[in-house]
Parts: sequence; C-alpha cells; structure tokens
Amino acid sequence: MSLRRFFFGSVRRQLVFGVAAVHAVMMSLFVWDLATRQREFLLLRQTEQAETLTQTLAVSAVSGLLTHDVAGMQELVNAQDDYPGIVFVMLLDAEGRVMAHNQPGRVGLYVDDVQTLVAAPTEAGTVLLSKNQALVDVAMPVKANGRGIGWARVGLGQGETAARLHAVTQDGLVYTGVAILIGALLASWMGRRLTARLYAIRRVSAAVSDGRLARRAPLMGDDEVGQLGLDFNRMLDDLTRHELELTRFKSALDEHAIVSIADAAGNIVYANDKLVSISGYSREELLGVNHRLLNSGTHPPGFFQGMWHTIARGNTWHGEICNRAKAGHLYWVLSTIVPFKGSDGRPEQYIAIRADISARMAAEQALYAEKELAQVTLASIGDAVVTTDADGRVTFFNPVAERLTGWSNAAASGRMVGEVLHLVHEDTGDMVANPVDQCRKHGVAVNLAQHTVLLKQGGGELAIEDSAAPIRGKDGRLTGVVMVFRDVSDQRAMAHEMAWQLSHDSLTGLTNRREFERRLQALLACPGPGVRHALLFLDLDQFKIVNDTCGHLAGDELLKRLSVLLQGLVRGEDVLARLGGDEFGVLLENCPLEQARVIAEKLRQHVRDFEFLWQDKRFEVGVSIGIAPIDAATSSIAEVTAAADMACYAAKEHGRNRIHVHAIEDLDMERRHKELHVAGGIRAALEENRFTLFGQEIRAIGSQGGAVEHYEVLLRLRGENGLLQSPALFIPAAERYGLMGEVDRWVVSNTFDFLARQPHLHLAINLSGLSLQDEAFAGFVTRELVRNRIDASHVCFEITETAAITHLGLAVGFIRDLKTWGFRFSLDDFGSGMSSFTYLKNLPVDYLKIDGAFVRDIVSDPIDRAFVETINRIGQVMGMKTIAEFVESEEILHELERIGVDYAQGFGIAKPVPLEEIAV
Amino acid sequence: MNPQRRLLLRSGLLPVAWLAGCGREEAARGPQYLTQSPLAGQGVVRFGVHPLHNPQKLHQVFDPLMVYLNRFITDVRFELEASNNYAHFEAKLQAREMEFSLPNPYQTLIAQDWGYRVIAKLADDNDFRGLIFIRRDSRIRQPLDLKGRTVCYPAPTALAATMLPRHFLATHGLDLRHDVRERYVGSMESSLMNVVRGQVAAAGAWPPPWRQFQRAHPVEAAQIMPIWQTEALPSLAVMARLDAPEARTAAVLRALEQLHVAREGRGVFAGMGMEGNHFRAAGNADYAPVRAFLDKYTRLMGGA
Repeated sequence: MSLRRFFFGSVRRQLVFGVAAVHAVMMSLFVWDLATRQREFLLLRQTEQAETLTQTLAVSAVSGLLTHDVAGMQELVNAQDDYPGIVFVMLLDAEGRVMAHNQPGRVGLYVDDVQTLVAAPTEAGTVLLSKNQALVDVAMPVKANGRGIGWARVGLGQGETAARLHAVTQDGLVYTGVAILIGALLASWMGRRLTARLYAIRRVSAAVSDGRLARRAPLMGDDEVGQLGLDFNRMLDDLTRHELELTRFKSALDEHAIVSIADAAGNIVYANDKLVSISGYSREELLGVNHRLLNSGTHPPGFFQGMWHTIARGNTWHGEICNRAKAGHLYWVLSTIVPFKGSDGRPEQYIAIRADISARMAAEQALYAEKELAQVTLASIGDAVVTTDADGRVTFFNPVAERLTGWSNAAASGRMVGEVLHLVHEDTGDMVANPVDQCRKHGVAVNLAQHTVLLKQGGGELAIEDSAAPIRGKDGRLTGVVMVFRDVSDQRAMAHEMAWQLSHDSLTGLTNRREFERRLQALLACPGPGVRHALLFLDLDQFKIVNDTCGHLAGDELLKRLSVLLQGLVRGEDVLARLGGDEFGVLLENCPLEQARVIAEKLRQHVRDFEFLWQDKRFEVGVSIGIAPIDAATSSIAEVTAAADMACYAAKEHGRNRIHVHAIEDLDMERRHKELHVAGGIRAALEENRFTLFGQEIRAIGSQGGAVEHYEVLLRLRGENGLLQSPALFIPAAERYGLMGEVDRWVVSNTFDFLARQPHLHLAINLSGLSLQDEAFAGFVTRELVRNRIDASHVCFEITETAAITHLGLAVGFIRDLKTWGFRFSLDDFGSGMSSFTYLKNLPVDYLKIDGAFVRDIVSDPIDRAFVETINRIGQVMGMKTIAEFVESEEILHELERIGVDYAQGFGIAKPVPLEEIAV
Repeated sequence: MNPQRRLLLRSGLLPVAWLAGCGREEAARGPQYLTQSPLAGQGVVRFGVHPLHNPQKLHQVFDPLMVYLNRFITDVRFELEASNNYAHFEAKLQAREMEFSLPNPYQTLIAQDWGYRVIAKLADDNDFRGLIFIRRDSRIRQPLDLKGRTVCYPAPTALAATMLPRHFLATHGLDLRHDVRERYVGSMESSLMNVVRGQVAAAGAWPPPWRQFQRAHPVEAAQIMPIWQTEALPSLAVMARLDAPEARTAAVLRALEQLHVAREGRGVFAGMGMEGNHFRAAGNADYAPVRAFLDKYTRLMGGA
C-alpha cells in the first residue's frame, strides 16, 4: 500500500518513474533483441558449417565404408578434427558402429541414437540431431548406388563466438543503465517544472475549501497547465454563481415550504422557519431529534413502514401526512421526501419538503361527509338513481338501479349511459331517446316518454317511468345528469287491463256498448259514396227463462257460450258486441243488405240449433235479429240504432226467432209506437205509483261497522199485469227517452220519506248520468232533505264510474255541492269502465264499489283477485271505504276479508228485499 | 542515497538483470556410446567379391546379388564386401573375414588353403581364356614381331589376362625376360587403353572386360583388335568358408543355381561380362586344371 502511494501519490514521481521505466523497457528490449539475433545468426552459421563438413565426409567415405577400409576412414576423420569448434567427427556403418572417430577410443563402439538416424527421413540429405550453441550435431547417410551403407556425423560447438557474443551483451547492458539514468534525471527536471504550477492550483483549491472563495489561481502561460488554471478559475466563478443561486433558491423554498433534512436514522439535522412555525417546536428542540416527534399517531403503522420502505430503497416518496404540533393540535402536510445516497449506495440523507394542506383536508373531509350523506340517501330511496358526467358516462348507480338494470355500479361506471340503459317502446320495440341524452342536449329536465320499457342486462324487460334532470356546477355549466326511474310494470299491466275493460264486456269478453258505439261513430264519420254497411241487433228469446229458473250463474254461462258461438260466425273485421243483458249488436262493415241478411240468417240458425245444458236441464234459445242498413244517408248513431232496435222489436213482435230488416217507412211508425209504449209505460208507472223500492244489505266485513246497517236501494217496476220487472228492462228505455231524471227524483223522494221513518238506516241511492247533468237536481235533493228532516250522512249517492267520467266537471261540482250538506258518495262499478286511476283523484267520493265482475271469480282467478286487491288498496290509500259487489258465496267473503275489503254485498250476504220489510 | 532512489534504481535495473540471465549456455550433448548395437538386427554375412571393378562399380553390379540372396535367405543379411585392390581382397580372404567369396580362379586355389571350399562355378568356361591385343594399324603378325616392344598386363596374379597371355607368348618363341619389356598397369581398362594410345605394342586382357570396353569406348575399341587367344581354364567360382553353416551354404548354392532366371540375374552376369552364363554346383576338384597350369607356368617363368 505504501509502495502504491509512493508511486501514484505524486504526479512528479509518476512522471520520473514512467520515463525511467519506458527507458529501461525500451533499451532492454533493444539489447535483448540484438543479442537474440546475433545468437541466431551464429547458430545458423554453425549449423551450415556442420552440414558442410558432414556432407564432405559422407561423400569421401563411400569407398572406405564399402571396403571396410578402417585406416582410410580414420584418415578422413582426422583430417577434419582440426576444424575450429569440432566436438566430434565420426563415421558409422549401417548398424551404427563407429568405424572411425576423432577420439580413437570410440572406434568399434555403437552410438545409442542409431534408431533416430535410421528413422530420420534422408531425402533432405542431412539429419539435424541437435541444434544449440553448445552443440550442432549433424549426420548424413553415406550412400552407395542409392543404398545407405553408413553415416558421417559431425558435432560442432560454438567456440570463441559465444564469448564474443557475451561481451557484446555486457556492453549493451551498460548502455541501457546509462540511458535509464539520464532519462530519470530528465524526467525529474521536467516533473518539477510541470508540477510547480499544479501545486499552485492546489493551494488555491485548498483556500477555496476554507471558504476563501475570492482566491484565484495565477495566470501561468498558454500550455495545458496554464489552460487548466484558467478553467479552474472559470469553474470557481461558476461555483460562486451557482452557490448564490442555490442560496436564493433555498430562501425562496423556505418562504414557500416546510423543509427539513434528516440523517439516515431519521434524526432532524436541519429545520427551516416554516417547520418551527407550524410545529410549534423551537429549532433547538427539533435538531438532533427523530422525526417521530411530529408523529400524530393517526396513521396506521403500515403507513410509515411503506414510506420507509420506499425511501430506504432510494425512491422518492409523495404523500399526505398528518402531524401533531407541540401544542397538541393536528395539521396536514403534503410531503415529498427525497433520499440522497452515500458512496455506499445507501441513503445517508433525506430532504423532506412539505406544504400545509390542513385547510384543504378539512374541506375534503367536509366534502366527503356530504358525499357520503348523498350516497347513503341515494342508496336508501326506493327509486333507481343513475348519475352521469357531462359526457353521458355513468358515474353512479344506486342499489335500486343496480337491481332494475342488472348492472353493478362498478361495471356500469365509466360506460356511456346508452350502453347500460337500453330503452325501447313497449309496443314497437324501437329504441327511444335516452332522457339523459335529451337532458344533456337541451339542458332542461326531461320526463320519459310513455310506454318506455327497460331491457335488462342478461335478459328480461321492465316497464319504467323516469325523468332526467341536469346537474350544474357553480358556474352554471352542465356537469352531469341525474336520471330517476322506477318499475311501473304492475301499474302498466293494470292500465292495460283497465283499458281492455273499458272497451270490453267483462262477462263475455266481447266489445261493450261504449266501444261498439265508438266504432259505429267512427264508421259514420267517414261516409263514402256507394259504401254500405249494416247494423244487426240481436235479442235472445227465452233467456229470461234460463235466468229465472237457474239463476244468474246459468244465465251468465249461457251468455258466455253464445258469445263464443257468435264470434265464430261473424267475419274477422266485423264487430260483435254485448250491448247489455241479453242484447248483442253486430257491425258489418262493407256489407250490402243482402249479405247482411245471409249473415243474420246464419246467426239465427246456429243459435236456434244451440243447446244449453245446465244441471241436467236442457234449454233451447232463439234469437230475434233486427237489421238496419247504414249508408250515406244515415245521419246519426241514434237514428241507425233506433232503426236496428225497432227492427229487432218488430222481429220479436212477429213471433220471435226471426229476422226483420228495417224499412224506412216503418221507422216512424215503430219509433212512435215504441216511444208511446215505453215512455207511456214509465210515465204510467210513475203516475200509478207502480214503482217500488227494494233494499239489499251492504255488510261490513270483519269487526268494523258494528250495528250500522247499510242498504242499497233498488228500483223495481210492477207491471200492469202485477209482475215485478227488473230495472234492466225499463231503465235503458228510460235513459234513452230522458225519463231517468223523473225516475231518480221519485226514488229520492220515496227513499228520503222511508229514511225519515227509519232514521237509523244508511241507504245508498243510485243516480243516473242524466241527473248529474240536471243543474236543478241538487236543489231538489236538498229541498227533499230539509222537507224530510233526515240526516244527510245516512244517505249515500251511487254514481257509475262511466257517468261520472262522462260528465266529470258536472259530477265533481255536484258531489262537492252535496257533500257540503253531509251527503256521502259512492263510485259504482269501479273497474269496469275505468281507463285510469287519475280520475279517481278528482272525484271526492267516500266509497268505492268494486265491479262485481271482478269479485265473482276472485276465488279461482288470480288476475281478478289482483284487481280487487289493487283497487281496494288504492281506494283505501285515498281514504275511501271499499265495497265488493256480487258476493255470492262464503269463500268469496273470506277472500275479501283476507284482502281487507271493508264491505260486501251480494246474494251470498243477502238478497234484495222490499224496503218496507227492512223497517222492522 | 535515500531509500526511495534506491528502490527506483533497483526497479529500473530489473529488466537488465533479466536480460543478462537469457545468455546462459545450454549443456552440450553428443551421442552416447555402447558396446553393442542398439539395433536388434539380423546377423550379417559378408560376401566378398574380387575387385574386378572399383568399389562403387562393384557395389553397383553385385548389390543386386545381395538383394537377391536376402530375398532368398531371410534369417541373415548378406552384405557385399568390396576391396580396394587384389592385395586388400586377399588379405581379407586370408583373415577369413568373409563367409562367402567370389575370387578369381587363381585366388580360388590359394583360398582353399585358407579355409574356403568351392561350392559353385560359372557353367561356361569358354570365356575364361587370355586375349592379346594390338592396334589395328600395327604391323605385328606373329609373337616374334613383339621383340623389342613393350607388352602390358593388368596385374601379375591376373590368371586370364596376365598368366595365360604370358604363357602363350613364352610358348610361342619369345624370351619374355629379354625380348620384350613387360609392364603391369593395374586394370583391364588401363591395359587396353595403353594399346589404343600406342604406348605399348600389345596388351593382355580377357573376353568379359573386352566386351565391356567395346561398349564403354567404341571409338577406342575400333582402333584395336585381339590378335591371339589362349587356351581356356575353369571360370570363376563361389567359395564358402569351411565353418559356414551347412544349411546356409546349401541355400546359397540353390540360390546361385537359380540366379540366371531371377530378375536380378541378368544384371549380375552382365556386370561380370558373362552374359548368358549361369552357376552350377562345383567342388575344389573342378579347379585341378588351374593348379596344373600354375605349376606349368611357375616352372616356365622361373624367376620371372
């Protein structure tokens, strides 16, 4: 080590040693090369001489060897013995026996290496057995006639030449030594001269290290060392400037950031004012202390382990740290810790630069709390909520949205909303505009189009109602859209059913009167020249017999079967409707009268052939059919309906089970006849007081109700023959000819009169649509109330849903008016003709009477049960009491009880009885 | 000197010291010597041939015979033994250095006394006779014309080329001691060249070297001709040392009898100038005529 320092510790010594070493090596190589070349040259000459001698001897020894002339051969050998450097000369025979030798004692002996001679190739002439300075041993075969008969062999040493060569080498060594000495001296002198200036630079360097930055090296000429001095001075200038810049950077950094420096163990070795200020510790308290001093204890242990893991490997760490000030409060800093490695490759120093982010963290936490609240809220609400960004990419699905769409929040996030919400029209299956896109486009809240269906991820569809509203940032720019939707499959299905009910007869499934008239009206609205249609009115014969002998169930069953039969007989585009009771209508479009007659005949024939079996009884029914043509001259529904009605009446009059085609001329006659007949009949009944009132009990289900007795007042007409007639026989006529108002007044007067006598009863009175239109009717009622001094709350007016909706405005006014007097209202036949629950909200009624068509099959038909359940629930939600009609058995009653319907009415509860019989 | 400087100097001189260490000599190592051949080789059987050519030519001609024998007999290795001259060859014969030898007929006789016996000889003796050459333009027609002239021969002991011609001349009226000057010129070729160049009037030789000379020097050969030929004697023999194993001797004999049909045979016989000849089995007795001639020659020549 000291030797190494000796040679390489000083440029001057390196120079001296270098030059001396180069001299020594070069000169030594030169002398060595010279000696080698000389030796090689001498050896070459020695070999040539030995070969020449051998050749000479071999040529002259042929005869001697052939004749074994020993003396002659010895003479030849002796002649060569005087040659300078001769070691040996000999002649050998083919067996290697010495025939002659310069040392006579050897003659007769054998040479040991004769095999070498025998084996040696002889084409080259001589065989070189040994070649070095001490001995060149050459042999040559002696040949006679191409055959070897022996060898001539000469050994030749170097003699004096070796000594001469040695002397030359010695001289060379002396010269080498002298050259090395001169070279070393010269190098020493040059070294001193060169390094003197280097030492000057070194002294300046030492001064700068001591802080004397202004010191500069003296100018020292134009050579490399002089240039080095200049470069060194320039470097010092740069250094001074950089130091200044660094100082400025540092002061700027200290102004902005919290800076500290720690050693490898994490002990603070530098802390700037900011750190002192934010931590509350003095600089003296911080220096030499581990950074853990500032640990707030709020981070999990793994947090700092991860940080140390990063920086101990030499990587920069970024992160947010919560520290604790001396005073105990916490503060947040955004930290960057940069490790600096020492020469051993391990970090020896860490510089931490921090920014105070306490305010931001507080804001973030507040924001987080807000967001958490919002998300919990969204997760809790029953509707699906989807939010997107301004580009329409999903940012959030609440749990309901996840359930309805089949997409998880994670899977949907980031996708375009159109990718995850496939909305189509429920009827056409066409894609509908996504409300999110519309909302983004127009910037306003958008409601979903009606009839929208959501295609679920993984199959299935869902009817939904939804809306989308824009989310705007502080600056008013759109930052996203929130879409809310809910599953309305049940409501939608119900609405469909309702719509169907509105236009169909619930018993037979045929088109109902309302729809039939609508179709007829539509046909009349677009008359065409030459286009002819026909209207058939069908009235069953002997239906009443079935109804009276076997009850409603049998009558209903007959009607259902006949409906199926008739539907199979009319053309596909023809409209077959049940107009009420046992009346049917057929609208034959584009059908001339003759063809209509054929169709009617077919219908009549099939009904005639039809046999109805009921509990071992066999019935045959017939049908009377009236035909009225419809052409361009037909002006109104009333006209054509009356024509068909009259034709039907005529058919009956003419003996039943036949067809009658209406003729213009008998229209007037029939109309008159009928008007007179029906109107006269009703008027006569009113005058003769042949109307009578019945009551049917409405019983509270379950425990409620108590002793209160409810009855629905029913109207019966006692015919001239003394038999009671069903209202179905006279009320349609009374309605058609405007007599219902009078009938209603009669009913009200007589009921109030009865109630005055039996004030504990609660009675329900049916009102026709006509009375609702009669603005004087409400006044009549109140007058009757006052006159009879009854409790208005014991009177409930039943209005059919159809009547109420048809004259909604009047109906609402009428109801509100009379409700102020204390009257109750009931919406009758609810469900049969209703298109929407919406109307219900506008009708301030107290009772909801569920259409008996639903109630009747409630035990066996789950759909009917669902209807009843739904209507009941809606009614009760809206604060109404519900009443089920057509309760014909105990099972139905129990079912209604389970559903929670409030009241029940029907044959299963009580049959209608004359009102006077109740008053006991 | 303070310790820092001393350290510096030492550091600087370190490379020099290191360099000095590099020049150290390496140890010299020559061959080591043993008393036995490290080659576990076969036994060597020396086969000497009389120096009818110089050693390298002789090696060229007879080395194929060694190859042939080595192919035939595999338990030992036959090696040709050449000699610089007849004296050298005879000295080695007398020292019994060679197990088999192919001497000339004269040496065949003396080798019998040195422990060798004849095992085979060239079948055709017709070539083994002396020839006396003169230049074609010479006016010599009979031996007496050589009076006062010079005659040359290869060597005194050359039976066919020297002894037989000298015997011929002596028996045809010439007193060799007085009538002619005789000169020994060392070899057959040398003998013939002396005639060609006219340095001698006549020269002794024998048919194989003559045929080779005609091939080798056609121009010179055309200038001379054989004028007389002598009687023939038994041709060259192959001898075995008496202590040679009987089996190996028998094997060598069988091999020699087959040589003329072997692929090496043609070259060997041509090299000897004996084309068309072959070996057959023989014994010492086959060379009795040579002994008889030599007795006659010795008596005739006396001190000559």
